Formats: sequence, structure tokens, C-alpha cells
Amino acid sequence: MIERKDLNIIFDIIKPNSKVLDLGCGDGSLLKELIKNKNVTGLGIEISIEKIKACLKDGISVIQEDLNEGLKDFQENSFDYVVLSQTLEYIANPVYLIQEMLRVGKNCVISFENLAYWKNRILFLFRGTLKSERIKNINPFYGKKVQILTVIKFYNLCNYYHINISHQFYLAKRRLKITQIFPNTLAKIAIFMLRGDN
Amino acid sequence: MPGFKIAYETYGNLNASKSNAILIFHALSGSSHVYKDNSEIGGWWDEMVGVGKPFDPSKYFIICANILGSCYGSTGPSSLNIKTNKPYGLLFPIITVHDMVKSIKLLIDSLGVKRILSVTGGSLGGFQALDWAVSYPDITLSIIQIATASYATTFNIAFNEVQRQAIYSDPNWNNGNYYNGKTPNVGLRLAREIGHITYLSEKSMEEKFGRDLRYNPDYVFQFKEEFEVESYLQYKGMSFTKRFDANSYLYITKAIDYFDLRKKGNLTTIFNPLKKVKFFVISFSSDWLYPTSQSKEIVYALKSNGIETSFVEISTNYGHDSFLVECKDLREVVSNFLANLKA
Repeated sequence: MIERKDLNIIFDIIKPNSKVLDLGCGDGSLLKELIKNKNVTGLGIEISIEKIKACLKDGISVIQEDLNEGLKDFQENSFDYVVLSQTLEYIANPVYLIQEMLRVGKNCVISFENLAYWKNRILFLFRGTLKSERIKNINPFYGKKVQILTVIKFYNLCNYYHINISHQFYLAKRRLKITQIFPNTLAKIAIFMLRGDN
Repeated sequence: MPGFKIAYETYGNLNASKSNAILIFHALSGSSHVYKDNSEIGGWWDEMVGVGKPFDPSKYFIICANILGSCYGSTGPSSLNIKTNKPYGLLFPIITVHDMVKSIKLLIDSLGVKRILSVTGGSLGGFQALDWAVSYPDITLSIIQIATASYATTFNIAFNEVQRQAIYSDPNWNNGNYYNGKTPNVGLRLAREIGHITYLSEKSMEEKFGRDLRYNPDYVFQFKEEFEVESYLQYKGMSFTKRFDANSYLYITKAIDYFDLRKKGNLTTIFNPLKKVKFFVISFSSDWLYPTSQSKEIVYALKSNGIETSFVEISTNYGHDSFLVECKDLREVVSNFLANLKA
């Protein structure tokens, strides 16, 4: 069991013996479980050297790269899955990266925090601040999130760019079917599996 | 060449399964003395070799040999030529990186080591490590390449040539026949000063010296060294001449220039037989002699072959010399990488 809930779902989605590229792999916890339990061949991409040290400690191959530059060095269809978990919010040109992911991977799995989650809305209504802005003595631009993502926005994005969504799964505090029906309001985290038009 | 010597040092012990050997290749002016250990002289890589350091002799059997053409025990231009009973001088054959690697392989064989857990080196040491992995992939489990490339660039050749010209220009050099008389120290000193600048970075030099004056409070308007940086370079150059042979400098820089792994084909093809070798490529952000782009070329060719590869570009200010100075990030990434190797 991986600590992060969305990573557990992504773990379930990925088929055994496949080649996985994890973009923004952090400390490599997803790849570690996949390699151990599903005989996956994995490669991580990460920009923070501290997180890279954690990946190396677990024997994961990791390449230091800035995702904003795309996946120039990767060839078409060289991976079964390209994963981008809770990282899209930090990408300056998200469409470019998603298109690159579709070029490099046969399947793409993307997860992100849904800003339209009802708790965020109530908080903003009453306090006028987002969750992270409540804390006073921290850098308000910490983490450099550059995108505001919601479920509806993501659907619109895929529609506009003709990106095929093959699966979607929504996470909230508790596993209730109703979350899957009203995701924009009830989902805390959204997970999408994409396939290119080819 | 009839016969030759390779001077080497080992630290630590080979384990029962003979699976913990680490082969370290040194760079241009290095020697087999990679680790101080119990001696009085510091090792050239004390930052990375030692108990508690990544290349820990209490865990691994560490081997470091002096390269052919050098002057720290292995046969080179300053060694005695049995045929003439005089030092070789320029009669010493021009050697390549592959020659150095082959000679060290003979050493490894003679030590009874059949598998290498990891080969590593920085700069020219990295050239050797790469050449080793390409030549002997079946006995090499992993390679840690630091501040290096798969070929010497135009830039590298240009700087090496200028350094060699400095030595040739010294009247004492006498076509390499100087062992009986005065040594070409002025030329060698100049060569080293040029080389030394290429090992630093603009930022580190600026921070260390700025425009500070060494001896006088203001300019003296004479042709002598006045600035801190001038005095520093002179000191570095002069101390080098006390420990290194000018002819060796010529032979080794030439070997660097000749190195081009792509001579036999493009990198992707060259790396194809290395499918089972684990790679860790490391570059430094301020290294302009062997810049990150060189490392990335290697990483790209490795990825194209589906070879297990990791890569980091460590942020430093020290330029090419970064691999020799204290660097916590370098130590930690290498330690973590090594800890996962299973022979």
C-alpha cells in the first residue's frame, strides 16, 4: 500500500510486466511498488535532487530533467505507460507535455487535485483563501503551482485537443459511488487514463 | 613495447564471492594513490574514498592503477628504456585511452578479479571507465561516469594543444630529451596554469579572487604578477612542476584528444551490447570543459537501448574540478546508487 491514495489507484491500473515512465516521480514510491509487485521496468524523471537521492536509495533508475522541456529525448511508443501524478499543476505548458506523453507512451495516466472540490469552494466562500493560503508565515508561491485544474477544465481540454479519455476515477475522503457521478464537486483528486488518437 | 609496469594500489578486501571490486580510473594528473588510508600523503579522491564515504574500503575492494604514460610508477616517457638504457622520452609510443584500459585489464586479471561491481572515474577517468564498459561489458556490473564525455570536443583539443605548445616552446624541452639536464619547468608550469583555468568556473574564480591585488595596495604598472589570481595560478603551476613530468603531460593530453567512442559507429549502436550494465551518469552545472550536454548525449544513447540509466546534474560553482572537491550531493547520490548494486 502506497501512502498516497491516487498512487494506489494508478498502481492498480498498470498491468504487470509493462514499461513505465513516471514523470515527476518524487521519491519513487509508485515505481518501487510496481517494480517489486508487478515486475515492471521503470524509469523516473524528477527535478529535485533530494527526491532523486530517495529514488536511488530504493534502486530506482531516475533521470534529472525539467519536464517543462518536454520529452525530447524519448522515442515514440517507447513506454507502455507514462504517468504524471499530481504534477500537472506545476507545468507551464500542460498541453505540450500531455501531447508529448501521448507520443512517448501507449497509455497515459494523469492525476491532479481538483480545485473545484466542494470543501475548497466552502473554504473560499467563507475565508476568501485557498487551503494553502491559510498558513501565514510561508512563501505564498511555494511549490510554484502554475495551473488551476478542475475536472471540468480537464474534460474541456481533452475535448478541444482531441485527446481520448479511456478511463477516469475520482477520489474523495470516502469511497462513494456518488463521487463518480458528480466529480467536479465531489472529487478531491481526479485520475485520468488517456490514449492518443492513433 | 617489450614489457611495461603498472603501479597500482588496492584498499579493502575482496569478499568471498569476489563480487565487491570497484575499479577507479584517475584523470590527467592523478596516480594510483586515490585514498590516503594509513599513509601520510593525501589521496586524490579522499572526498569520495574512505570509511563512511561512497567508495568504502570496509565494504568494497577498491583498485586504482596509474595509467600508462604517466609518471607515478607505471611505465611512461620518463621510465627507463631497457634497449637504450636511457629514459624513453619521445621514443615512448603514443598511447590511447584504450591502451590504458587494456593494460589495467591485465592487472585485474592478474589480481584474480573476474567481475567488477562498478567502474568509475571523472574526466579522463570517465573516458577510461566508458571504454572499459564498452570493451568488457560481460564482467562489468555498473559504471559511474562523472564529469566526462564520450569524446574529446574541439574545445578540449584546442586547450590541450595550447598546453602542449607551451611545453614544446620551453627551450629546455629539447624534443623530450631533458632527463639529463634542466627540465622544461617554465613550459610545464604554463601548461598547468592554462589547464587549471579550464578546471574552474568564472563564478568560482570571481568569488575567490575578484580583482584583488596580492602584494600592493594599488597598481604598480609593471609587468609582474600583481593580482591575487595571477599569484594563485603561478603557485599552482610551480607546485605542479615539482611532481609531474612534462613528457607525460604531452602523452596523456594526446590520448585525451584521440578519444572518440563514436569512431566505430554512433553511440546508440556502440552501447547496444551493454544491455546488462547499469549506468549512472553525473555532470556538474558549472563544468564547461565537459559540459552537461556531453553527459546527456550519453544518456540519450543509453535510453535508446533501454539500458538502466540514472542521470543527475549537480549544481555547483566549482567547474570541472567539482568532482574532486567536497560535495555532499555527489557523495549521497553515489552512495545510494552503490548500495543497490547486487553482484
